[in-house]
Amino acid sequence: MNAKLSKARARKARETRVAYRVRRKPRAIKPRVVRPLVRKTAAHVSPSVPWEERVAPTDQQLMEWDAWLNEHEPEFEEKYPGHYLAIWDRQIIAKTERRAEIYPLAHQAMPHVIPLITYVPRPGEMDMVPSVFPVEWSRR
Amino acid sequence: MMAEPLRLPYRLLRGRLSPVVRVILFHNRAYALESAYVDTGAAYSIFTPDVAEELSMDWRSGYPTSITGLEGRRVILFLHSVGLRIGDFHIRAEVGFSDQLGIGFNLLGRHSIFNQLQFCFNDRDGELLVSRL
Repeated sequence: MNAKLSKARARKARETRVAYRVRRKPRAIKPRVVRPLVRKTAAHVSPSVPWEERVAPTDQQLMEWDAWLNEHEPEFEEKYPGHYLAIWDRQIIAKTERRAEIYPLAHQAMPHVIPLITYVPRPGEMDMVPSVFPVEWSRR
Repeated sequence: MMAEPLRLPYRLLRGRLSPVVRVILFHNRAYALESAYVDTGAAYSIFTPDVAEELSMDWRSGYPTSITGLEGRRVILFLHSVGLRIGDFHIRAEVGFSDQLGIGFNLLGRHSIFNQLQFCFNDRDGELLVSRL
């Protein structure tokens, strides 16, 4: 008898709760919004190729690449201002405006090499005073 | 007799020759090939955090310190001891990693580098002369 009564009370309480919620939040059940799929940027993962197996440029190659960079700088400044470039064998293997993406992109393009990373400044960016001082030197 | 200094060419950036040099950073077996602006006025060398990640380092685990720019903005950086190669010179130095610098270039500053290497700027010929102290 008691069990029957408590079951009925519980049911009533449940119904009351539901009725209360509906009354308080008439728009509780919102229509489902289909959100556009967002492609997350690739998280940085350590290179899967072991360091011993990766090819590094020789000093001679690096000097050649430096000369090549200087030669093509005006072209890069026009095409890629504010970009980070990953260079291998006088070729741009990856480019991005987001610094954090340059290594993942370079590894994706050529996982077996250690590229040279460089930056192409925007107009006026070289008129800078980058010097930084210990915070103790700042005026209070 | 002092050895002949190493001559590193400047980079031609936005029509002007700038002391941007190639720097190789080592940590354990990993290494990263980066470009850095040699700044005699900068107290510390500062690289972006992704360089530390490339070297498999937790950049925030370093010794924290604060620096300030000319405009008074405070920047937190974390110092780590890494191997550096500038030209032919291999040194061990403390460099900072920070995501708050706000310029595209890495900086090569004085702390623990300028006491090992001497830099002489030749803006006329666009060369940086580097020698070991």
